[in-house]
Amino acid sequence: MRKLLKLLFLLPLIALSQSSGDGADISLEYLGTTLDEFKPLSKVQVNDTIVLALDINNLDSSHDITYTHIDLMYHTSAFARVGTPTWKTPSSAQNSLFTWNNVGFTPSSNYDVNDMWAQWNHGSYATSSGWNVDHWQSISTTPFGDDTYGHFVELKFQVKDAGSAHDYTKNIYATMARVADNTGNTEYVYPFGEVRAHPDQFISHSPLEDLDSSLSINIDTNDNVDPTKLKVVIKEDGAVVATLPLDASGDVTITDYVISSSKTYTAEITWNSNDSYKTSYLDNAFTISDVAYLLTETEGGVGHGNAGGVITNGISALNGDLSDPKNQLTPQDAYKMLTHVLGTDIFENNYYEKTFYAAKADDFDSYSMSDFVSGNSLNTKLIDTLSPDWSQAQNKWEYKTGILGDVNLNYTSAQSSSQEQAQVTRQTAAENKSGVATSKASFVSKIEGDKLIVEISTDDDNLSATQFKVKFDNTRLAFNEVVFDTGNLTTNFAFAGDDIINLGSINQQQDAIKKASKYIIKFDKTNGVTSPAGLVSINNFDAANKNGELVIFEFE
Amino acid sequence: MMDKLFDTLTFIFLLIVLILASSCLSEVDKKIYPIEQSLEIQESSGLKFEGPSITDGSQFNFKRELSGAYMLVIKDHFKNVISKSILDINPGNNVLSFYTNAINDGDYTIEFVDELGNVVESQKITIQ
Repeated sequence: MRKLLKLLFLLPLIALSQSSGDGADISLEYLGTTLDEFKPLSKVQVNDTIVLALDINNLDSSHDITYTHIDLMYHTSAFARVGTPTWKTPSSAQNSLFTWNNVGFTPSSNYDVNDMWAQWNHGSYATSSGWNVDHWQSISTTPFGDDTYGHFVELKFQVKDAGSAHDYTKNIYATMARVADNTGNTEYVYPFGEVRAHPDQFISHSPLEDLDSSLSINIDTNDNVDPTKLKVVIKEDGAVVATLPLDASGDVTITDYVISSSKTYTAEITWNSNDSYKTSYLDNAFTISDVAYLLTETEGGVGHGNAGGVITNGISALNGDLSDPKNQLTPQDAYKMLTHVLGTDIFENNYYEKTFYAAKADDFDSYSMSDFVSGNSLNTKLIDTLSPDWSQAQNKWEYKTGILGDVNLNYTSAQSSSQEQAQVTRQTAAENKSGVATSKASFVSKIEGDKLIVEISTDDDNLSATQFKVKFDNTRLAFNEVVFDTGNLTTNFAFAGDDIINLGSINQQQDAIKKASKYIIKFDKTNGVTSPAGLVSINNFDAANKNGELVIFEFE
Repeated sequence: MMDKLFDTLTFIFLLIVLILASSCLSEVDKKIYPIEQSLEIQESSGLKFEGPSITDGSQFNFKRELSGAYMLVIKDHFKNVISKSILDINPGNNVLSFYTNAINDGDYTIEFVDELGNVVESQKITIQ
């Protein structure tokens, strides 16, 4: 009965892994390379030097191991054993090694291939060009094989390029072994079936090319674009091999994935965040102050259609050039932008694909207004082909990003040569905005009967555009209407999202909106609401002066 | 037979009266203790939230000696005003709800400002 139970207990082990169970297991272990102990075997390249160990695990509690020899065969076209082996046997042990050159092993088909003592007795060696067999042997008066001394022996092999036709299967292979206990009056030899190669008997790795260049990508974004919300998809001959998020500095290392000089690799910049973040962030990039800035260029400013009269930055012009003809800033561009801010989604919800772009950093930095008006296009793309210079120790692809509609560049990478014109900045939990001035405003809510009334007030005679995004608790409030008091020559807009009211004004007559303007938002409230605390909040806001320059609201 | 039926109906009637009376008693209990202990303010005026972190519908007590209109101001981590509401406050305890669905999670400062513009209470809270 006990035997049956023991058999039942061991059956899964025997079936799954062909361990010796209660004998000695011998394993060929990969320990990294001499330069990187954590380098996975799958990433080992030609000319790397790998470290291997022959390990013995004595599972027989009735016997010690004082003698072992293990044969390890390897193909000399693929591997060259180098350096001095490190024995991990007791200090008094007699260790020895001899080698047969051009000898190959043929296992006996009557026994399991990993039954190493049976194979020592019944397998055979014969002349075979290209194969060497090392015979590792140790005898000791002190037992080993129980991890007291670590691995049996550690070896190093330099990885060679055996040519594309070479078959790397089992190119390092533990063929046979003998294990014995000499501590008693008579030698006990671990019997057939109890000296097993387990869990690893061989290595079949096809090494990668010797491409020792460090490869990385950097995407330099505006402070308002969190690079960790982006990721890079690496494809090898069109098949995805890695999807790698950027770190907080916009960096990502791709060395482990671009591993062949003969294959084609591409990098695609995609989103690494949920859609709501993406939508709100892109929406915040494209606001009324961008429209006012472009209108000043095309309609009312000193330029009046003369490109470069107000907008002098090539990237800024590129971001505003939304309509034909291209490479000209026209009133059509400004009105298309205005249409978007007033509530019509000109990108048909494909915000990211249609507005977000990247360009090589050098191209981006050098793109000027002259380039824009001359019709020189900036090579913008989200997918780039990577062609490393393998003779270089390092290859780094650097990109900068922009967003169409972001004329005042609050969400677009800075050019290396651009001058800082902003005089004030505003930091909120959502963004960091730079402008030329601040303007006081107020935002007050109050319950009146069954309504919640929100009143936004401005007090500035130099504002040409305003925009407010008011977030509301849609479980307790239902949007009713907005009442504007902004002057007769002002275009007002308001549209309600699920839980945000987007409203504002713009004066397109080269004039300011009314100094003491008011925007009154009315909500119907549900019963049971006991206070106005927290029912609404200012989610974002934007403004421009009569020159189209960004002004930052300060709510009091 | 009729007597027995009458006795049964009388018993049911008395049982219903007893149940109604006991539910009235719990109403009385509530009136005796109008605010939860955690929101009690011993001083004559003050501000108390249920805890340092609040969620949607959490209550707070704003206690004043005199009635008046007060401004509840919510400032974000960068001291920007993100919401401002007018509250009509009665003398004594004013236990009210604080709603958070329209406010992003984060650290905020809550201020109460009187009609003269003085900040009479201020407290930092976390909205979750």
